[in-house]
Amino acid sequence: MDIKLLLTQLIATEAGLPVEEISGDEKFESFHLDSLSLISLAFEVENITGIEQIDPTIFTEYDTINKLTAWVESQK
Amino acid sequence: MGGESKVTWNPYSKGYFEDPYKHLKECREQNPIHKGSHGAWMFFRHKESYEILRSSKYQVSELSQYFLEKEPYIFKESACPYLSAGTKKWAMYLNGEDHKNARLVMGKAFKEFDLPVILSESVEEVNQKFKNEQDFDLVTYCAYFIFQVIKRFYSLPDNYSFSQIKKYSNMIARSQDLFVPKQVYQEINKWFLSGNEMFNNINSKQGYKENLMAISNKLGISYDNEDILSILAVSLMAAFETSKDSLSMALLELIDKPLLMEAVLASDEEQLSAIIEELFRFTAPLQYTVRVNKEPVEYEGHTIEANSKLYLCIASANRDPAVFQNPDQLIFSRPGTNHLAFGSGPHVCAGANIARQEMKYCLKHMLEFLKDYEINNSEPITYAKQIMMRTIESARLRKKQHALS
Ligand code: HEM
Repeated sequence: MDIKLLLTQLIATEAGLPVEEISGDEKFESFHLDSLSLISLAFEVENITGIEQIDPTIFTEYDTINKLTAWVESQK
Repeated sequence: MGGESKVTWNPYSKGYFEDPYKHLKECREQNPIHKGSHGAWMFFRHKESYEILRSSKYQVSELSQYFLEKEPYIFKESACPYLSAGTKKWAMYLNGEDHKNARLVMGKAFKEFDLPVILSESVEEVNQKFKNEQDFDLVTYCAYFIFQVIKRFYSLPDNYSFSQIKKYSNMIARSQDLFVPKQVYQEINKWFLSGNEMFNNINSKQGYKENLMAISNKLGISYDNEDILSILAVSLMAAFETSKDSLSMALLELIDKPLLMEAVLASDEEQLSAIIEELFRFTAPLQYTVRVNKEPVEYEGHTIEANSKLYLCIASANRDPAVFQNPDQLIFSRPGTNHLAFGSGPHVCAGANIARQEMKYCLKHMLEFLKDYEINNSEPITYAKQIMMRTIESARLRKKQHALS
């Protein structure tokens, strides 16, 4: 599974932006996602990757697609 | 203290759902007032929670309004959004006149019932249903009791099954939880709609719905059908969820500690009342509640700007050693105390008396039956991943060897 592509697509959908405008190094906060969006995103990532009980606050620590991709990879 | 890093509240810390009290103790001891991992203010001591609950400087947060803002995001074009409408008369999220009215009408509507009869019949029914079981789930047992009580309050038609009502109650309760994703809100929305269908099918000329309509009419409070449906939903959820949770946690504790069980069985009326209060303190099924400050407030050098959400941790307040000695132990002779299991102040639980009566009428009867059972250790006790309300999902019991005939 291409985690980076998956996260990029999910974030593009949440942020209402085309995939091409989402860069892997851009901070999540620049997409103006509110906490409900981030929680819903975490839920989707749980469902797709099978990682259990993702702490919805991970987005503050892993705050770009690249960082989050590395984190998801490390959970497998 | 220097640059030492202090604990930050995070319900995703390891093992939290199985046992939140370790983490809450750390928070209370190291960092009793702070911004949690979700960015809202958290209060862990009894003192502040008690004061805030009773102070007129704070309001409750408005859940229905929150949903109104979020519904376009949650539902996009799909479905029929009903989260805001479904929660619009939930007293715990209303302020001012709206709150006073909802509370008044509910209180009077519940007063119409003959509780001792309803409760005695219900406990009889549950013991009858489980009497031949060798192995069963304690949570199902407790939920079935509350279901019997609710069925009598609501005059529910027979085609609504126990498992449907149990699920309905849990799903709409989750609308109030923290960290709920939109996918789950969409699911909750369906349960709200199915609840409406159920309530609209109640045709009995007696029961809680009729009481609500008659009493609001008499008091000149104009509630439309949607308002009445919202009050029916909150009353069912509040009565079902917390009672089931506190009862199942209390019984589990007593089954695990035979000496305490004996003490309950041997208690007189006055002792039993004290025991019941202690069980409420200890189990605190509603573990948090939220208040909003109208003006900026100062706590221990932190300035909290106006309109912030303050999470008051009832579960932690009820284990605060400044108020309760040996707080993690059930002590039935504990002197009368201000536990916060039912909250305090203007929003104090409107069903506290019902909850107390439930325990008064069921506890001994249930223990007489359950004393032949033990916890079935071959299956794990599981807890729901819920934050605001602590819920045991499943706790299997099995008949003790010597009780097997
Ligand atoms: C062990 C059982 C119960 C516990 C621990 C419990 C706990 C609580 C707490 C802590 C609050 C205050 C919430 C706040 O301050 O924000 C509350 C409010 C409320 N409870 Fe209960 N409850 C229980 C049973 C019941 C029952 C049986 C009913 C109904 C029959 C009920 C109906 C309500 C209602 C309507 C409110 C809102 C009151 C208001 O905002 O004015 N509760 N409950």
